[in-house]
Amino acid sequence: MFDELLSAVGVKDISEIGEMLVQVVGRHVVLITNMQGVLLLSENEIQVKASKHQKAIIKGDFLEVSAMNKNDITISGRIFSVEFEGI
Amino acid sequence: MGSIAKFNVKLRVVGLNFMRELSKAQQIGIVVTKLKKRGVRVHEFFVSESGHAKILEHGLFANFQVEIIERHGQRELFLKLFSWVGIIFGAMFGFVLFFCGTRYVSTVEILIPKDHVCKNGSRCIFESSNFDEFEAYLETLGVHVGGEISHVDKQSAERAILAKFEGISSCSIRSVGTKLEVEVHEGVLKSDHTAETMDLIAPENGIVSELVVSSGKAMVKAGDTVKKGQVLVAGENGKRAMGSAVMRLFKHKSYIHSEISIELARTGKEKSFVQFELLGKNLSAEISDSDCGFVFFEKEESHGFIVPNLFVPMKKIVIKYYETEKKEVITAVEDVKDSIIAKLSSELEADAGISASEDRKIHTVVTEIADCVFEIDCYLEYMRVVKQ
Repeated sequence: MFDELLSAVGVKDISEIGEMLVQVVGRHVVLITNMQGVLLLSENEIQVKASKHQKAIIKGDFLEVSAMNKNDITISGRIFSVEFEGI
Repeated sequence: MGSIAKFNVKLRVVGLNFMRELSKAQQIGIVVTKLKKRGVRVHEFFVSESGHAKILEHGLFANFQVEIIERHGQRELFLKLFSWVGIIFGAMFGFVLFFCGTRYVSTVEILIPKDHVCKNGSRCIFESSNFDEFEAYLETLGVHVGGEISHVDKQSAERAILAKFEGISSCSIRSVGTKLEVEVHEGVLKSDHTAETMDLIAPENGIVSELVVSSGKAMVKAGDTVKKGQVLVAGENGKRAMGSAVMRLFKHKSYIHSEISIELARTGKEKSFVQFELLGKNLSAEISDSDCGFVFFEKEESHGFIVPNLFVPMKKIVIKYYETEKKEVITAVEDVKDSIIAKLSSELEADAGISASEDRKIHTVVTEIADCVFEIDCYLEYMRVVKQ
């Protein structure tokens, strides 16, 4: 189903895009892959560097980085919004 | 998300530019979990043991104040359990003792009345051989250490003991915790009629001075020498012999005295050695008697704690050697004869059981049996009346 939806926008494989993939699970978990680092960390806002010119801003309450490695990050807490901004 | 290892170490880092250091950590592959901002410049997160090692190896957060605030994981659990191992073993031992220890007999105590006076002589139940037999019989009844308490039928055991041992007048077995108490009281045995003699018999070797026969046949006459157990008056026609005999009895003791004796006397020279012992183990070199260098010596050892009145298990042992030499001591027999005779005669009187008021005669003979060696013989003569 997910692959079919991707193919509708002309993408065969997600790894081809080379961009950040953001998955929001309910209101409490955000999974981000292919990110490039954390720019800001606080209880109400976490900024993740998506590419050279773009960042993702996760806003909410009681936010914490549940797990993080070189490319991936899991954020948990009460999620209000996921926004994108240029750097 | 990649592989997330076990995150055992919780770090609190305080400092500027946390994000820069965090991205460095990301670049070298350190996985961070439960990252939280705790305040201005204060962050807390978990890393694995290997991740923590990498942080230290690469000098990350070098300008930060880094504190390990928690440790988790199997290793920590093991260490916690290990620190509680004494208590865990103690609890296990307690459980084992509680469930198994209360089932078996730990001790068997045979209670003898404090005011016990032996009523049956050698047939007394508390006489060593009889007592061994009694203990062996108790074992056959199941009254022994290691037996199950519930298996001991106390009432039937008491009955069996009373039936088996005539010398026991009452017996009670009771259990106090894991201890079994057996209380026994000695009864008076009936006299053994078969052992009673019909004849008048000489109690000791001696000479008959007078003999009066009321019933029976005289087997000796006045002036005869008789041996212990010899019949003086024999019973006749199944009747018990009646009469009395006055006997002169003798006892003898001797003492050999040498006028020249060798004694060891101290010369005044001495040597001391000190050793230390910790928990019964010698800390110093072993000292043998040859180390003192004396041919003849007396040895004295004194033990003491290093710190008196305090429990420090370290002991100090002082070994002293006193040099001695042989000296000839001459004691003339005339000087010691009286005291030796007095000692011998008092021993003889005690052996014979003579009271102070009874007549007795002491004969002494001093014989030189070798050069300067004398034998002092002491004879006690006394009278005894035998009658029945």
